[in-house]
Amino acid sequence: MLPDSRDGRAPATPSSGIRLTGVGRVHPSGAGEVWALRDVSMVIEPGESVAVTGPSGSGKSTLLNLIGGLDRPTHGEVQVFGQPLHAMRERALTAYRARHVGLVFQDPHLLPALTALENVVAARLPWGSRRGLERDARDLLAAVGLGARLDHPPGRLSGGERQRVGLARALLGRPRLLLADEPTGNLDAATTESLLDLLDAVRADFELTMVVATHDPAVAATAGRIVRLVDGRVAGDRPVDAAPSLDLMSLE
Amino acid sequence: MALRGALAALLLAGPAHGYELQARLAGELGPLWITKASQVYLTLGRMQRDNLVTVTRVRQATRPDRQLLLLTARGRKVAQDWLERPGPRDELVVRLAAARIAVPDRFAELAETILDERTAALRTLREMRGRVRDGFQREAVEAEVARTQAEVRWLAGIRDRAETIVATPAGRKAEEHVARLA
Repeated sequence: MLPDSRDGRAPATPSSGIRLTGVGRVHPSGAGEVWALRDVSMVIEPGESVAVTGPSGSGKSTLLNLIGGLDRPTHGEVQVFGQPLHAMRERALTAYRARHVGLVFQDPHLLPALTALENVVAARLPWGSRRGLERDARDLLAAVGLGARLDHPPGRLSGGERQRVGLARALLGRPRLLLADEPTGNLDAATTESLLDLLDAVRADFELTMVVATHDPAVAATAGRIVRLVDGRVAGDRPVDAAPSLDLMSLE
Repeated sequence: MALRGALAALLLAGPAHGYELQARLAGELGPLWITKASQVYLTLGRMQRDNLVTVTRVRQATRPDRQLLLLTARGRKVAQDWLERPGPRDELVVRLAAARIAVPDRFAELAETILDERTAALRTLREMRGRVRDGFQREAVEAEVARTQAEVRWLAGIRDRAETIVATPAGRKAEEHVARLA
């Protein structure tokens, strides 16, 4: 059961996932127009982990922005947890984002003058008491392995640790949906692997629906399903299965 | 088995002489792959014994007779299985090289299938990495994770460029390559 029923949200129903129907996003450009996304239809079930992949400019970020209520489609419908984002006003979208959506970016853009703990809490102060938020933030920073770094400013954290602070911040509102846009784009290979492991653990522990945009097929492989965009259209949508067997090596 | 599969796959494109098959493989795979003529003929002999190919003699006016190889129904099945079924990862490059020549219209689909296989392997390896702790085990699994990541990235590139790759003319054996094969 999803956490909804515990905290009084509507229980999960078949319509409670993400449902895109004929979605397009056009930007005017000079005399003409540019289609960032075109005729995208898909369903993402609650608890699913989906990677959106494709070259730069293929529409990955646009898709995440539409699902996250940061942008509105010019065509089609975007339903998330039963809410029609395409038809909602800015005020309702803001409430939707605050309540349901956690965002992780390539660069967490932490405030340099604040500690890790303060960075996690700052953006949500309008939505809760400082004391309550700080208590949650401590738990979340511990959950991402930074329990001993609460008072460090970003300047004294590594790139991977700063990204973990960003993840804790994204989780603070206890969202049901985590959207990550190139979350490993600034990280080295080893840090990338541990962040991917952490994202997967967090998704399971917090019962999140997760959508990760990445240009890297090796990062996409951590998801349960890979949607590939080319020129704003869905060019592939395939599950990632477990391997039936691995090549074993024998010493000879 | 890679050579047997590759030779059978190349014969899907039509009957050929043994030396043509060897030159075609060398022309596609280039300097890193050693395709010795002696090994090619040995393998073709075994394929004939196993009823995967039949041999027709073609008379030549001034030279000795040449042997034209033809795939049997059984050989066709071996070729298709070798191309389509998950195989040892060392054979990935050879499978795709042979597919480009033998079944160009299926190349993109095959690249996608192999990408799916290796993506699944990467997922399973990462899960395994999370479970091992003792000694050097984690690092040993990590070596495979790293290799498989590189394969997945390479395969995704192949898939993305499949149309161009298929349209590229057959390769030729490089001179120094020929010298090394001698």
